[in-house]
Amino acid sequence: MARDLAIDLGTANTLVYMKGRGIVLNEPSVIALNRQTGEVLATGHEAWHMIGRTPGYIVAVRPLRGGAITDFDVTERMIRLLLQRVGVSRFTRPKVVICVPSAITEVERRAVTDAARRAGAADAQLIEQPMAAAIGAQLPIDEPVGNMVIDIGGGTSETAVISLGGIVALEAVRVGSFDIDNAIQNYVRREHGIAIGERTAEEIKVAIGSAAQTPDEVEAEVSGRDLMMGLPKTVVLTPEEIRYAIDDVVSQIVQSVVRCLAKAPAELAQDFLTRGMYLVGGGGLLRGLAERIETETQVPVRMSQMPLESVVLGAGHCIENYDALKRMFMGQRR
Amino acid sequence: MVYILLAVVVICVVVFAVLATSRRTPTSNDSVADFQRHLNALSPEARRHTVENYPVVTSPTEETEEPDDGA
Repeated sequence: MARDLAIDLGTANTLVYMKGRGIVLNEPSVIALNRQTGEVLATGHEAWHMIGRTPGYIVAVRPLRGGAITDFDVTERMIRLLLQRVGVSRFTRPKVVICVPSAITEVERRAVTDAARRAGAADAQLIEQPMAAAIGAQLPIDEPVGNMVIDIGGGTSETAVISLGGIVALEAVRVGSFDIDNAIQNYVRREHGIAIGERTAEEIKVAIGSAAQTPDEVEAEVSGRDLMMGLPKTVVLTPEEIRYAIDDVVSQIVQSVVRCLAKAPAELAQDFLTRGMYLVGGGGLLRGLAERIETETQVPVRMSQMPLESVVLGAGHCIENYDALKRMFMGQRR
Repeated sequence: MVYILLAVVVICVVVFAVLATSRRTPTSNDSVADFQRHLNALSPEARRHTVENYPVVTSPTEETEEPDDGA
């Protein structure tokens, strides 16, 4: 008998929740392929370590961008491997609930469900990430009060107001942590004349990146390839530089939160002031981001206890209570 | 003969009752109960079971190095 699954198919990480067992898999959404034969060489952590360090015949790719499938075949193979790793075989076909960005198009929705079905799922239902995040973050969404959740992922940032188990207002932008990494890469290339990789940019973000000034700031040395000479070169970056480099991206995220607040019914506005907004997703871990949102909206911002797992736990709760929570799935609302 | 007729009547009544139950249109009471069931399944008590009762399983490699981006 197949155990039903909830999958948070994120641009950065993929998490799988198995009914009755909890989170059974948590790894980067990366797959390494042999360019010539198309064979899968590695997935997850192993493939992530290969990014930017592969010989010509290997390509390590993220098959999702902005929360949407950019390469259908590769995504299907990745989902198939994920399902195999958690014990799904051709004889045990589970029901699957997949978390997707709320802004995905009808075509993108179909791509995700088709990929899951072809990979071995008996049935595939979709749930919006901010809704799943609110369930997983233990917000009192069953009550007639305004709950606001900001989910900042690798490729999308979504803000939702939820009351009585449904979405009241929603605002999504296809901007996330990867855009912050790209902004750092571009800045270092433009201002210091050196090329750095995706992973190095991410390490800089984690080490000294911030959205607002924070105490105990330090500088960081970064090494890359000099664009003029082609030789390795090291430069020192300051937190102020990185704040400047990522300001455009951070501003887009903050503005989407402001737009969502403006869309929410006036009756719920007082709830936000007393209850605050909840930040989930890996992008929410950027230093100073909560403070920056709080300053610009004048609404308290709180960090979820499990920012990286909230979405899959919420979808997992839907799998545990599949019949009672059917109306949460996209396309099932009456 | 009477017993056979009686049996046929009983079977017809049972079949009619089953069909009537399965084909009846949803009433407003059904939708109220359904919505209540939906809200009950979203209550903090119901969710605590999912979030707290099951441990988060991490892979061995994840403990050494992990990308920090959002899911």
